[in-house]
Amino acid sequence: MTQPVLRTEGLVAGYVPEVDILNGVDVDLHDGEIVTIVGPNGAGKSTLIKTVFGLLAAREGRVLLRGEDIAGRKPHDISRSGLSYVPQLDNVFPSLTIEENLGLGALARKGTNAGERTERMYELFPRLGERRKQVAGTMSGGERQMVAMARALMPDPEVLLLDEPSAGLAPAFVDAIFEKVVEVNEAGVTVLMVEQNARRALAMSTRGYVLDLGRNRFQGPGGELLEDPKVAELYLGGGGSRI
Amino acid sequence: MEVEAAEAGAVEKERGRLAGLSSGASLSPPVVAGLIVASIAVALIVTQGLQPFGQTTVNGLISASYFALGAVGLTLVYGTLKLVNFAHGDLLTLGAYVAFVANVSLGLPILLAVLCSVAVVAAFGVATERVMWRPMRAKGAGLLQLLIMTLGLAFVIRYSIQLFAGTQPRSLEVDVTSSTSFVGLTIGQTQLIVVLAGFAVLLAVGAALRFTSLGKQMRALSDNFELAEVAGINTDRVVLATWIFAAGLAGLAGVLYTSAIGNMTPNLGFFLLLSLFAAVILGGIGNAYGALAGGVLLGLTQEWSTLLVDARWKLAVGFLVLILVLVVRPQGLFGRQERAL
Repeated sequence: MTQPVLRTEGLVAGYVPEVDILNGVDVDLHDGEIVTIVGPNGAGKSTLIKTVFGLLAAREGRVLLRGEDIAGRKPHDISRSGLSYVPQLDNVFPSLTIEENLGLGALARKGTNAGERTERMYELFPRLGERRKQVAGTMSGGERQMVAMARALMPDPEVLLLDEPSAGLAPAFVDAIFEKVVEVNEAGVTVLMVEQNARRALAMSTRGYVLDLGRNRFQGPGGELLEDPKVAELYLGGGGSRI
Repeated sequence: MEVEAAEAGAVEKERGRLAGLSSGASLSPPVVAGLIVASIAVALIVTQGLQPFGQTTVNGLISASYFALGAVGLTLVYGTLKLVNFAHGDLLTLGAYVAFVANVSLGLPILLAVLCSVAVVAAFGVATERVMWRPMRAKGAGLLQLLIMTLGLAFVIRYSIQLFAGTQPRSLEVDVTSSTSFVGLTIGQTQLIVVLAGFAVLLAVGAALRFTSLGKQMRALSDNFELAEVAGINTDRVVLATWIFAAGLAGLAGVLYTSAIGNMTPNLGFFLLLSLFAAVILGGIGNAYGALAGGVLLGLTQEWSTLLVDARWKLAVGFLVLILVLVVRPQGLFGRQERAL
C-alpha cells in the first residue's frame, strides 16, 4: 500500500501526570479516505485527535504526516503543514462576523488567498454566504458547526480532523453536517473524524477504528464494522437504531 | 426640580421598555442603547435648554475620551488573558508622570512628551507580561492569584511614583487658562485638543480593530484563546501586540486626563480605575467596541447628570446607570448573546 498521509504509531498520551488515556494507538489515514474513530465514552477518541494536532503532548509513539514526525510541534505550526482541526465545542469566534471567522482561518498558511478561499467556502456552504456579516455567536448550533468547518478549510488543508461534528445538533442538522463532510471529502480533503453517532458515521466512512480504554479494539471498512456482531453488541448498542 | 425628576423617571421607563424590546431580538442592543441616549438627550434639551445641555455634552466628551481609551486596553487584556488588571489605572498614572518628566523636567515639547509616555508605558506593559504574567500562566496560576498580583503591582507603581515625585499635584506645561467659545459653549483650548485628539485616536483604534489583520486577531484571542491557537494564529505574537496596544493607550489616556483636569497626583489612576471597569462592563467585558462605547456612554451620563443633581453625585449616577443596564442586560451592551446549542 502507498504511504499513509497520516499515521500514529503506539501513541501514548494523557492529561494528568502518570495517567495515560491513550495506551498505544495505531491509526492510518490514506489519501481520500474518511476514517471514523468510534468507541465508548472515555475510550480516548477526542484525546487521540488532540494529540495528533499537538494540543496534548505525546508521551510515547509518533505522529507521522507523510512520513515526517510532527509529535511535539505546536498547533499553529502543525496547521501550516496542511492539517486542520475543528474542536467539538466553542469552535467559532462568537463576537466576530462569519467573514472575519473565515478570514482568520486563512492566516494558518502563508500564501492563502483569503478572498478566493472565502468565496469557495460560500459555494460549499451557501447559508454562510447569505449571512457573511452576521456575528457568529448569534447563529444556531448547526450553522456554527458550518462556520467552524469552513474556517478549518480556509487554508486548503490536506487532512481535516473533526471532533464529534454532530455533537448537540438537532437531527436535521446532523444530516446536513454529515452530507457536508462527504462533500468536503469528495472535493479532495482526507477526513479523520471522531463520532458518538457511530452508526451514521461508520455508514459514510471508508474505514473505521473502534477504540476502547485507549487501545485499538477493531478496525476495518465502515460497512464491515457495522455488520460485525461483536462490534454491534459491544459498541453500537446492539441492534436497532438506538444511536 | 420635581418636574425634572418625573421627566428622568419617564426616561428610565422608556429605557426599560426599549431594553425589553431588545430582548425580543428585533433591534441590536447597541442600536437600542443609541436610541435611549438620543431620547435622553432630547428630554434634557427640552427640560434644561440647549446651552446647558451642550456644555455638559462637551464636558462629557472630554471624560469620554480618556475613559474609552483607558477601558479598551483593560477589556482586551481581560478578554485575551483572563487577567483582571487592577494595575491598569496605574498605567494611566505612569503615563501622566512620564509625560511630566519629559515635558517639565526635560523640557521637551508636549507632543514629544506624549509619544515618550506612550512608548514607555507600552514597554512597561510588555515587561510585566514577560516578567510576571507569562511565567505565571505557564505555571498554571489561578484567577485569584493573578488578581492579587495585579493589585500588588498597582501599589508598587503608585508608591514608586509617589517616592520619586511626591504627593503634591503636578502640572504639564499646557495652556489651562485660555478658552474658546463657539455657539455659546465654552471649552478650554487644551480640553478642545484633548477631545479632538482623544476621539481621533478612538476612531483610529476602532478602525484598526475592525479592519486590520492584527485587530481581528486581537478580537479573536479575546473571544476564544484556545480556538485562536488551533486556527493557526501565532498567539504569543498577538498577546505581545495586545499589551503594547493596551498599555500604550493607557499611557495616552493618562496624559489626556491630566491635560484636561489640569494636574496629576499619584492616585489619579486608582480613582479612574472604577470608572474604567464600569465602562468595560457596560460595554460587555472582553469586547473592544463595547469598551469604547461604554466609555463614551459613561462620560456623557456622568456629565449630563450634573444638570439634574449636584456635580458631586456624578460618579454615583454613572454607577447607577451601570447597575440599571446590567439588570436589564447582564452581559453588557455588546456582550455575547450566549445561545444554547
